Amino acid sequence: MSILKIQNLSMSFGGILAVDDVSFEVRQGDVHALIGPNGAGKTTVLNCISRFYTPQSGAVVFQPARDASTNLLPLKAHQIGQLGIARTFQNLELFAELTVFDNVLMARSQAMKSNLFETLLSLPRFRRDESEQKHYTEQLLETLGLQTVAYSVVKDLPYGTQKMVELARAMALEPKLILLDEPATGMNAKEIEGLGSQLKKLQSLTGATLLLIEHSMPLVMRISDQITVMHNGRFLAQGTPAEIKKDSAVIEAYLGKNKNVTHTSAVNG
Amino acid sequence: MNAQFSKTGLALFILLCVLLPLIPGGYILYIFSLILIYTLASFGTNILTGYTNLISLAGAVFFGVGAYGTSILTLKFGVSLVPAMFLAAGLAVLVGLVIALPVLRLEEVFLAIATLGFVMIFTEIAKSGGELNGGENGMGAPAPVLFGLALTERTFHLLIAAILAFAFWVAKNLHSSRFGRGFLAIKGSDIAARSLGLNTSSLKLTAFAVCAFYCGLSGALYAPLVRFIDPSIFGIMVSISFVSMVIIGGLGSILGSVLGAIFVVGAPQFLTYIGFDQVQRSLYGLAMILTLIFLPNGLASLFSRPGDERKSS
Repeated sequence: MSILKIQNLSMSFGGILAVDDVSFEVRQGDVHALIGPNGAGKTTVLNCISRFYTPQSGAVVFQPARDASTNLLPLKAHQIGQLGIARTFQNLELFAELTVFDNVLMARSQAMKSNLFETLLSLPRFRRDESEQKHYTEQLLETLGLQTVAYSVVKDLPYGTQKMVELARAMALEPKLILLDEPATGMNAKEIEGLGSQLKKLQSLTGATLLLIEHSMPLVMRISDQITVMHNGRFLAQGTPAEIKKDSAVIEAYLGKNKNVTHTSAVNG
Repeated sequence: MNAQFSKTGLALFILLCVLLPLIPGGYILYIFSLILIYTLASFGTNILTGYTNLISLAGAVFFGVGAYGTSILTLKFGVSLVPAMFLAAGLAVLVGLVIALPVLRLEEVFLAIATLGFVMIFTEIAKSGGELNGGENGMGAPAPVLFGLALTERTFHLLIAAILAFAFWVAKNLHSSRFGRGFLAIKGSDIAARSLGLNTSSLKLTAFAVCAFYCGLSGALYAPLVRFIDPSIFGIMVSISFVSMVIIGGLGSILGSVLGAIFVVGAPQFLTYIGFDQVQRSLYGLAMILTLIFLPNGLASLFSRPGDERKSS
C-alpha cells in the first residue's frame, strides 16, 4: 500500500518550472530515496509535501491507513506535522538557543491537551501533561543515546550531534512518515556509515516510512528499498537500487552521453 | 533563558521594592508602586517581544484601555474596583486580538511601525470620548478600594504587590508550558515550529493576548494610583518605555523584566532625587546607551553565572 502519492505535481517560480508533472508513490514501511543532480527539484517536492510551498497543479495524497486518506494541498504547514509527517532540513532548523531536551520536548506539544487557562493556573491536567511528556522525552533521548547532551544548548554541540538532535526531534512527533532532506550533508564517510545504521534503527523502532533526499550514493544504495530519480524537474526513473544502477537514462542524467566511465561505479560513487 | 529569578533575588526584590518603601511612604512609596505597576507591563511585553520576538509598540493602547476601562467601569457604571480592573484587562485582551489579527504577518520593524499606528488611533479616540471619559480634558480615576474599604497608599502598594505576585506565578507557569516553549520556537525557527505541528499564527495571537492582559492590568492599577488620566498619558513614549524595559533588562528573562522596570521608572526619579534635575533626561539616555553597549544581554546578564544555562523547564 502507498502511504504517499504524488500525482502530476507541477510548481514554478517566476516562470521557471522547478517541478514538472512529477508523479510517484511511496510504499508504506519503505526507505524511499529521492535522488537527482542539483537543481532537479527534489527539495521543491519535499517543500510541497510539507506545505511550505503551494504547487500550481497536482495532488499529494497521504494515506497512513487503508481508510484514512488526506489530500495535503488544502492543508497548512502545521497541520502536516499534526497528521504525522515529520521532517528534517538540509541546513538544520533547530532551536539553537534551547537545550536538546527542550528542542525534542517541543515536538511533544501535540500530545499535550491542556488549554491556556489550565496552563496559566497550573491546573492538574497541565501538570500531568508536562510530567508525562517530559518523561517521554527523557526516554526517547536515552533510546537514541542523547541523554548525555540532554541539557546542553544546541548551538554549543558539534554538527553531527545537531543532526542527530534534529532526527530525535522529528521522531518525537511519532510520525508515520519522515521526510529527510540530505541527512548526510557535512558528514565524513565514517559518519555516513553510522547514519545509515541509525536510520535503519530508527525505522525498525518507529515503523515509520522514510522519504529522503540524499547525494551520498553509497548510503542511498545501502539503505533504500526504492529510489526515485528526478532530473531537470521531471520524473526520470524509479526502481530498486539494483535496477537504478543499471538504468541507462539515469546514468546519462548523471554523466552526460558518451563518457568513458563504467556505469555502475558512476552511480555508486 | 538563563538568569531566572533565584530565591535570593526574589527575597531581595520583596524586601527592597515591596517592604522597605512602606517605611518612608509618600513620594518614595509612590515611585515604588509605579515600579511594581511597570513590572507588570514589563512581564507582558517580555512575553511578546522577549519570547516570541514580536516587537509591538501597541503597549500604550493596552495600558490605556486598562486605565480608562477601570475608571469608566467604576465611576460611570458602579462596578467595584478590583472586578473592574480585571474586566478592563479582559477588554485590553479583546483590543489586543483586534490589533494582532491584521498585523500577524508582519515582522520586526514592520510590525513595530504598524502597531504604532494603533497608538495614534487610540489617542484620537480617547480625545473624542466626550462625556464618557472627559475627552481631551481627561477624567478623574477611582480611589483605591478593596471590599468597600478605602486603601491607604501603603495598603494599595501591598495590593499591587499581591497582584504582581500572582502575575509572576502565572508568567512562570506560562514559561514552562507548551505555549511558552512555542513562543520561543517561533523566535528560534518559524519553519521548524510549523513542521512540528505548532500553529504559529494562533501562538502569536496568544502572545498578543497575554501581553495585552498584563499591560491592561498594569494600566488598571495605574489609574487609581495617579487618580487622574488624560489622552496625552497614553502616547508612544509609554509604548517605547515598555519595550525599553525588556531590552534593557534582558530579552526573554523574567528577572530582566523586573530590572528593566526598576531602571526605566527608577533611574530618572533617582537622578532627580540626588539633584541632577536639569540634566536628568540626558543622563538617563546616556545610562540607557551604556547599558545596551556593555550589557547587550541586558541587566539580567549581570546576575547570571557563566555556564548557568536553562535547565529543563
